[in-house]
Order: sequence, then structure tokens, then C-alpha cells
Amino acid sequence: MESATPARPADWVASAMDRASELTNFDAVVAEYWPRVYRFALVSLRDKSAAESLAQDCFLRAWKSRDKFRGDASVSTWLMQIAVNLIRDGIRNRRLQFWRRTTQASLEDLTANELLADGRSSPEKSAAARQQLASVWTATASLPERQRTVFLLRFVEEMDLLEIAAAMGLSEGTVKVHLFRALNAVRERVGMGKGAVK
Amino acid sequence: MTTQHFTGDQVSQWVAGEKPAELAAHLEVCGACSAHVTRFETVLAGFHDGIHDATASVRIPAFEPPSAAWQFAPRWALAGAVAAFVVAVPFYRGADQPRPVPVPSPVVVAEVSDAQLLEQINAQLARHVPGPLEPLESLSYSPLEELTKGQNQ
Repeated sequence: MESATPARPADWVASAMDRASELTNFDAVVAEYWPRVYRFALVSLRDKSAAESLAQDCFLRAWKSRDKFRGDASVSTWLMQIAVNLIRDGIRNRRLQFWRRTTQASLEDLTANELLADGRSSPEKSAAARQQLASVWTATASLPERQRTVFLLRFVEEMDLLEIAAAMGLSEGTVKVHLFRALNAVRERVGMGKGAVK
Repeated sequence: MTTQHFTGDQVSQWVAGEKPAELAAHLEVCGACSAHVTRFETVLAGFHDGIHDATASVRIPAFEPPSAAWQFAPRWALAGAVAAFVVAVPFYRGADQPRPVPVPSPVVVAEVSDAQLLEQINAQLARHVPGPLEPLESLSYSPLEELTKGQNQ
């Protein structure tokens, strides 16, 4: 999670300079944030090789534009913004049909079981937990692109609404609308009913 | 609020992290809503934990930024193309212009006498066909000539 914004302007400037100076050691940035970018790409694209390529591309772009980073947002949010844009462009770009294919509501590419097979706790994981993961995994596959992105940033990457808004270039209100719709859809698709609690 | 169950949006609002006091007050007294919200939060937490577990052992590849030469290669290529264009333009314009026809110097012209010039003109006028067609004249086929040849034989 991103730290709270400092109250005084001087503190804010100092904080921004700290964030910008973080990029001087780019190897450390890659080591710290690669898992997050890769994980988000994987749950968005549902393809391991595409997720790895996207993460590479994300850090390459970050490295090229590191001089332009002013520290307005955290490095993490900045990287997620690049990743979100790459995923969006990849989905919309006709030349990258394989990305489009992997983001359709189909579990032919990477199933929840295949995902868990790579996990460190797959043998110990309870059947109920696996079922929960599988049901939400299936539910998110059929969400519209923006709703899915907001949902994944909130419930996988634990970003707050302001960070999600910054990463997606949306207002906080718009993010909230997408998140509520996504949650309503997921709640219905995991069998917890629709609308009011009964 | 305390008597009616959560709407769908209120469930989403609570789960998304917005927890106003009125919703909290309702959850304290409503077992159905409390159980529903808790169950949904458990499902989402299971999803979060499952994804993190599955990607916990991800291999972090060594990041090798492109070399400076490679980074500036497109700029150098563009500069080279511009330079080549600038150099090539004068040649291109020169090739486009008609080449000047060599004019005989006045000294040479003076050497051609009037009599010789008149003789050349007369020779041109005496031709049956224009000069450039003269080689074809010997190859041309004349049916009338063929016919007269046959009668003579």
C-alpha cells in the first residue's frame, strides 16, 4: 500500500524526491516489484509466457522513462500504471491476438488448478479454499475489462481506490462504480445471491 | 437501516472497504447480513491468498537494460538518413536537368564554307526518303517491281 500523503508541502517534496531516487538502483526496483507486476499480468492475461513478456516490457519502459518519473505517485503505482496500459493496449491491439484470446471468458488457457499447481501450498490447501479460488477465478474471467482490472487491483494487489484511480487514469468515483459492479457480479457468480441480503 | 438487510451495493460498499457507521451498526444487530458479508470477505480473501501462494515462487529474471548505443541507435539512423538525403539532393536535381548540347565554336562554323553548306542542302533535297529511313529502302518489298520481273521472264 502506498504511504499517506505528507501534510506539509516540504514533506511532500521530500517524499517525492525519495520516491524518484528509488529508481537510481533499478536492479533493486526490479527485484522488489517484479512479483507484483508479473502476478497482476498473470491474473489479467491468464497466460504465463504473456505475463512474463509483459512484465519484461513494463520494466523496460520504466527504465527508459525513469528520468521523467517525478515521484508524484509511488514507484509501485507508477509501475502498475505502465502495466495496466500495456495490458489494455495488448487486449485492444489486433496485432496481439494471443493476448485477446487469453483474456476471454475461457478457462482453456490457465485454470485455477493449474495456477495452484505452481503454488507453494497446493498440497495443504483445503478443498474449500481451492473451490473459493476457482469460483472467483471463473467469475472474474467474464467481467468487462475495466471492472476486472479494478477488482484485481483491489483484491489481489490490495491497492486503495486512489491508487487504482491513479494507475488507471480514472476518477475515484468511476473506480468505485466499476468496483461495486464487479463485486455484485462476482457475488452472484460465486452463488451468494444477487441484490439485497435475504 | 437497522431493520432492513443490506442491499447489493451496501454489501459491495462494505467489502470494498467503505465502512460507514450506519452499516457497522446494522451488522452488529443483523446476523444474516453479518454472516453474508463475512462469507463474502472470506471468499475474496481465499482468492487473494490463493493467487499470492501460486505466484510466491516466481522467478525474477535478471533485468538487462539495453545498451546506450542500442538506445541511441534509432537517433543515429535518423541522423544518417537525413544526411544522406541532404547530400543526394544536389545530385538528384542535376540528373533531372537537361544536359547542355555542345555548341560548335564560331571558329569551326567559319570553316564550313557557303558552297559546302549549299551542297549538303541539295543532297538532302535530292533524297527519295528522309535520311533516317534510307536503310529501310533497300529492305522494302515492292509488288509492282516483282510483277514486272515476272513478265520480263
